[in-house]
Amino acid sequence: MNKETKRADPIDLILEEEPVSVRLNGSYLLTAMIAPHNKEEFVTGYLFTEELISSLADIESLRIEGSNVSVLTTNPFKISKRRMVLSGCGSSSSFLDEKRLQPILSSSQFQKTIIHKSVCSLPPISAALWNSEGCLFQCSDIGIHSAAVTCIGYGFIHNIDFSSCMLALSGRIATDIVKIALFCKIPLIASSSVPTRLAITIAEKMGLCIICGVNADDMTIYTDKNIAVCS
Amino acid sequence: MNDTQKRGIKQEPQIKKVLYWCEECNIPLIAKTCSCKTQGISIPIPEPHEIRPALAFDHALITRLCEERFGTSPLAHIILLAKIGGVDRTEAVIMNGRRCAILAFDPVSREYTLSINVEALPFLLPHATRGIVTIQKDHEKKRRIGGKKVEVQTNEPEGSVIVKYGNQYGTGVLRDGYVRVHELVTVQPISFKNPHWEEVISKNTFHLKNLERQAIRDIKYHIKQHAKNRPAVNVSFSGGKDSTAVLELARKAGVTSAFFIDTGLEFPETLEFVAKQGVTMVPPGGDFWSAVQKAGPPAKDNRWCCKLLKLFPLKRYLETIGPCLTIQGNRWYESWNRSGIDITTQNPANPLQLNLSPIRHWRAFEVFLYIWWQEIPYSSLYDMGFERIGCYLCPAMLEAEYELMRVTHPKMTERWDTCLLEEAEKRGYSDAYVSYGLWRWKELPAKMKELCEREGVSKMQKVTDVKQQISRAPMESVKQITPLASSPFDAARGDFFLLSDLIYLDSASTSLSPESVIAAMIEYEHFYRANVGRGVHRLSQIATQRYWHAHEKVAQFIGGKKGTTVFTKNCTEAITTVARGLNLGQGDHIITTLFEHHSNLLPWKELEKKGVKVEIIPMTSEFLLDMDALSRACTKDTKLISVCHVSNVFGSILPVEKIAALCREHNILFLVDGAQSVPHLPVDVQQIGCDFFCFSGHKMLGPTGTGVLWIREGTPPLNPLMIGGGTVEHLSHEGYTLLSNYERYEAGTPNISGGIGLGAAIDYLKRFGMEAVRAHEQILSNALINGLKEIQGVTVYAPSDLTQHTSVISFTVDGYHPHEVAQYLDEQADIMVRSGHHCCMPAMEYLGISGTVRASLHLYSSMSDVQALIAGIKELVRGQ
Repeated sequence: MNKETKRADPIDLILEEEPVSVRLNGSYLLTAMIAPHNKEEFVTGYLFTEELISSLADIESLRIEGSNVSVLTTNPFKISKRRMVLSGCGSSSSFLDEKRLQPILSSSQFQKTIIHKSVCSLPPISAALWNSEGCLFQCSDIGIHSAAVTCIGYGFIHNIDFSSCMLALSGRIATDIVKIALFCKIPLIASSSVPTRLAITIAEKMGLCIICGVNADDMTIYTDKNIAVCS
Repeated sequence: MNDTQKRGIKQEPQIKKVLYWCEECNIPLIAKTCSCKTQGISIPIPEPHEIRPALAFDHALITRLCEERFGTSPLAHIILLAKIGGVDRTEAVIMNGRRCAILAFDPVSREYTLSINVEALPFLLPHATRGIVTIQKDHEKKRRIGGKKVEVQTNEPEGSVIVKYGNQYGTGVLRDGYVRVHELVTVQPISFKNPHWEEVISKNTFHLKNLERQAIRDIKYHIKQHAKNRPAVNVSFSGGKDSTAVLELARKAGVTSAFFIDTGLEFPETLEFVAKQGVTMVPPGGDFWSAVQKAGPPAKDNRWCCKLLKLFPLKRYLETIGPCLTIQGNRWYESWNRSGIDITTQNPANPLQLNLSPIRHWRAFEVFLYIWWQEIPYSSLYDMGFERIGCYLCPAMLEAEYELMRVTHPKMTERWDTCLLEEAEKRGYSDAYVSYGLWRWKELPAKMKELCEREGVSKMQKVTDVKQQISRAPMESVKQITPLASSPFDAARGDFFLLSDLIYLDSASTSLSPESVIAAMIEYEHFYRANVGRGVHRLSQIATQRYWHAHEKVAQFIGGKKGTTVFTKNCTEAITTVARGLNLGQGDHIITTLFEHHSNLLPWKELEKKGVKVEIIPMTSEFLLDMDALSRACTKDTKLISVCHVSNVFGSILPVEKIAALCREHNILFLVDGAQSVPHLPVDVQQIGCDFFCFSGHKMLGPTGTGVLWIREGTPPLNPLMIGGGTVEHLSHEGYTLLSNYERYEAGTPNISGGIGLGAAIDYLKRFGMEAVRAHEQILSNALINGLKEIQGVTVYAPSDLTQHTSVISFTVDGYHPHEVAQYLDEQADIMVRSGHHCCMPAMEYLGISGTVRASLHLYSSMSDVQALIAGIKELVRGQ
């Protein structure tokens, strides 16, 4: 903090970035550029959202050695490769299949004050996982997608019930974020920025509530169905 | 001169080779003359001369077969069956004083056949509506057809037929359009009286009373004769008809005690019946289903099951009784093996028991008559069609009975069929191994070889998918068929193949590995055999990670996350790594104890060449560490104290936390040899407070060739025992930098599959929890120590406070060298123990003995093992 301006010193706001190379069952999986401090959460979240694992018990061991993370599943000789298209890191071989998306069935609702607080308290390029009681986990990363995946990883590791959570982001909501929310059955994603049209369309079909433009005075709900907001 | 002749009372009864029959009353007779004063006719009965009444199932079967073939069943109420030789059930059917037919079961077609004799024609012919084949008589040629094969035109089904030839009738077999005629006779229809069995009993009552009187007299005589040496008298009750009759006779003679050995393979009806008889039920002793995986199915010429399921439990039971006279229902007529047994016999495998056979000369006919006469309840299995009541999968059982079981007890046959099919697949046998019952012999007898030849069956190697075979985890089928166990430790025994037919009490030397450990190692070899830390390819990556993960598991298991966990070859190497890695030299002082295994003495003694002084602290008379002496021994030159956590000879637990506190006080390094503690107690190295902790992987269910050295974080690094590939961070002409983690100490290619197996062993132990393991072993150890202490001539070397003790028990037997005891236990009781100095010579010298016998338990040990060892030692001592 600069004592004279009472503002954060720019040099302190510089985020570290480093490559993390992930191997799954001995084979190379991806390299992503992420903030270095939540490698385990990021990798776990990535494996979960890419449907390479379905429960924590599927992970036999996770080893972090510098910028290398190596994961062995309980049956390392059987890998299911089910991926979907992302706008974020490393999954260009995937495709988006709406038929395989599951609609949101959760009836969880969040107070406007919670939604407001969850988004407005975020630093740039960050994501946070909240429930009705408060913030469960927050992280900043190189990109919104990595941050979201890291949050999911945290929730997965700690056996959090995603259907009672919301995901707050400080960047644009695109289909990759929508896909993550649908996969984890998170009923609400909120952000300070305007979402993409495709993100709205898919969310609308699947009953996912998107709230954007959240600021001190107002917020805009972009989906009609299953509005997860209460007074 | 046999026992009876010595008594000078009467001759031993003769074997009855004929059945007498009263034609007047139309009933069978026990003796020559009927109570109606008629002399009976004599019907020869072939070997083994056994006859029995046809019961409900038999009667219904013969009725059905007769109706199917001849459209009628004019059968008498009284039918007897005489066993004759054949590939499976083959019996002569005796009715109306004649041998009328042969009833046989074909193990290939799984069907019964009834082949009639001409003696049946007088009462069958008047009622037969089919099954008659007429052969046209050529009056001019006057040919004889008896014994000949004649072509016929007929719609009758193949099999036994009545032959009509002119005005004569005979019997024959119709096959492929020909009749093989047996003989022809002129038949005069005869009608017979049709009495019931009650009349047989009433007309034979005199002889039944004689039989009963004689049997009770024999029992009373022998009880008196052997009263001094065999004060205990009991009845061996099996639930079968013979022991049912004998139990009644014995009780009438005043015998009150009886026992039943439950083999674990009994019919449920047997257990239900036995439970109502007021006899002691001896629980099962062996695990048949594990043993069969190792030894294969038992056979008539390989009855390994009897030793495991009958002999050993019987021995253990008899140890609680002492020398006894046992009354049992063995009879001459049961089999060729039992023909000619004396009234008393001694089983050399059971010296405690003298067997008395008071109904040895009764046929099954007399046994049933006696039971019916006395109205004694008997097993319902007989009326269901089972002739033999015993283990339901006994190789001596007939295929006919097994086929019946498929209807009456389908779940039991499914289980056994599955086991047999697996065995057939394993050995590459054809399906006939199971479907024809060929598994009942190790070496097929002549009659079965002929059958195989006739059917074109031979043992063929089946085409198998090799990958499918080897990817299957070893013994996975055992888990499916292991019976419900009463505790998790009982269930665990099924995971250890070696325990199926022997008792392993040498776990302190090396433990057994469960199937999951072996499977983990095999999986490495089959699916990702590669070196660790050397490759980018996926096999190497998986191997490296699993090997690393095993280190993590071990560290977590001993509470050693704050430290370095190194895999070694064994505990000896782990200790030696410290001894040579510490740079100890002239003037340095090391303290150890008299409890130590050579592996925690010699590495330090070796340093004496460098001028290191090694001091050995003695034990107390209670086999505990003299802490005062240890405390007094510490000086400013003391660099290290090295002690075992648990003694491998006495099982004593040393106070390692107190010693650690002492070490901290004096700034002394502390090494603990946990080889005998980690497998049996919860261990937390942080709580202990040691600097080095060494133990064997192979004593804690891991593979041989594995050990662990744990080094506390902050301890100055040791010079590795060896350096080489995989140990350096950097190497150049200028020098090298060693790695700082465990790889520093693991030069070269390690025992990768062993390390991975050790990780699997940790997973296995964690399923139970070390607190539970300790509690389980303590119950067994206490029982063993207390049991041994009660035997005169046995000295146990253990602390009297058993809370200071684990599952290692050393003892000596007066008059026997420890090796003699160990050899005896191995040969006579299949018990494996260790004997000698146990690599602890200084302790033996201190006690003034050459060695001890050492029994050491583990989580897979059972109370039955403990009882077997106690019984074995008692037997040895008694033999002096």
